[in-house]
Amino acid sequence: MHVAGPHEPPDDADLIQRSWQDAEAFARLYDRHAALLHRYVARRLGDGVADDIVADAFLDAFRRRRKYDLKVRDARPWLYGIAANLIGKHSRAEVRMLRAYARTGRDPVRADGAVSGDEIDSRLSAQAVQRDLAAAMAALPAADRDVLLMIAWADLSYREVAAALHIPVGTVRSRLHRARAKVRAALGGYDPTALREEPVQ
Amino acid sequence: MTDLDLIRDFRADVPTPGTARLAAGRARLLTTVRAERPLHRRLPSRPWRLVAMGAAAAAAVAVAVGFLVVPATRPAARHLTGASPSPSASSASVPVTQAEVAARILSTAASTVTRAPVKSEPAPDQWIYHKTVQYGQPGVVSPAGLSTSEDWITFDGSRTAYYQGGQLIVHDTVGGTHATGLSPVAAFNANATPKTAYDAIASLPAAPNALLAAVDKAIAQDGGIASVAAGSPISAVAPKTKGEGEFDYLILLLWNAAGGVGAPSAAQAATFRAMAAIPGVTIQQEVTDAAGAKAIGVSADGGYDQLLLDPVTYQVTGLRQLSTGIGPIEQGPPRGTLDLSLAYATVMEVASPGAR
Repeated sequence: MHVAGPHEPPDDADLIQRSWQDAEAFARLYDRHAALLHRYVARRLGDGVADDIVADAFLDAFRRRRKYDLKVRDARPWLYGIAANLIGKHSRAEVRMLRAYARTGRDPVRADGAVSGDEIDSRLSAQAVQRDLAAAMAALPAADRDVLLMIAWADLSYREVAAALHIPVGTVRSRLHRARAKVRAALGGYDPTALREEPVQ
Repeated sequence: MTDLDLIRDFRADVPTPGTARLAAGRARLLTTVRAERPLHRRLPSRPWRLVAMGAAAAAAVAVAVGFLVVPATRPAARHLTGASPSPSASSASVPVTQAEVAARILSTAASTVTRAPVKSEPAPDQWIYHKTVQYGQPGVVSPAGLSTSEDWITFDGSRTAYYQGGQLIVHDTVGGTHATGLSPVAAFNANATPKTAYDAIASLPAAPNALLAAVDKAIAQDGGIASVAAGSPISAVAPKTKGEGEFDYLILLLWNAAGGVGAPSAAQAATFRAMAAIPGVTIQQEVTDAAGAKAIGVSADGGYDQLLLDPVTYQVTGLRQLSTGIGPIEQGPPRGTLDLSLAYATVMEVASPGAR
């Protein structure tokens, strides 16, 4: 049970509850989470689409704020879950962009379309790995991709991903396992000893 | 490096956006927030107050802030005369209970609004101008703590407008379209606008008990009186009473209708009669609203959340909330101090957004 002391900054649930009476308090939730949510969406769909999805996700969340379960003090699973629904509508575009990247080495998601090989860890032949990875991610079912990226990019726990996507934790586990197996298979040509299972929780 | 590390590195150069990039989304959110602000009831549900205060504490606060108050749990137990609610005054001349005072004033209010000139229901696209004065808005640091805002809304709430930096901004309200096939009350629950409030009040039965039963049903449809998740710190303290829930819902209807042309006279009179039938309803006279006008405060929780009525016309002019001194989110100001007060200084039908 959470009881905020007088000097403790409000957590997400506090802000949402406050917004029930003072709607503008919801803007603080935006200030707190919009940037990282935007980056997450931009990594999947590019920053132009991310602008719209983040704005829509917060509008959607604002309208649903009275239904929010105050037991969940961190609103990220809720926000990423709402965003996941909106991302899902762009699923074909996401796959198309991943395939284009795999095929051409130019990533449509990045504004200049540049290959970012210089900035990628050079222990592996970065660009080739990136392209294979893009192909592998394009081949994943959308539901598996959601789970994989919520864990790898949004740093949500299994439990949080389960809450975000309204699926059992066991389903999160099995989808993640499947997604990682496919990614490893796609990367099979690269230093196999470097690719190992890593517990994420 | 594991497969997950590789995925973490994938597109890792995509930047975290700065505030400039996020400003448009924030502005869209604020537009929706502000479109809701003058319409929805600002006074919160405070389900923890009854249990946490107790009847004796409530009476003590009532004396401290000069209220005519009887704890809701013992509505007829305490007598008082005039404006002196101290126990020693109870032996004076004719004892009048809070319930009797409230019943008398609400009855006068009902007959007065019945005689008011009938205003016809505006067209859905009729623009309405609001000038709202508020005390207690976060971020306002003027010495008096007052802020004045102006906004425009169509009667059906589908469009809103306000000035920002001297420029008139007109928006189609997100969620402003009405789902068809809903009952008037369900339409109001889905989207509080002057029109849905007007229609919902008009649809309620006239007899007090039947009206309150309809309100109970509307509250149940809207998710129950305490929209608090089970097991949360608040719900663990106390639920709101049925009467408070009914009163809050009626405030919600009346306040939203007041942002248009009010409610139809007969229906508004029926809501006042129904309020009088709610146990524990109290009246505070000689209140000043945020716009500086005299008002009567009506409350179902011992005077903490009040609906403000004009003392002559009995039309709805404002809302007021006094601190209970406690809260789950942060320490509130001392009990009985003014937390928030909101009043319509002007509500007027106008030809176009931006017109005053």
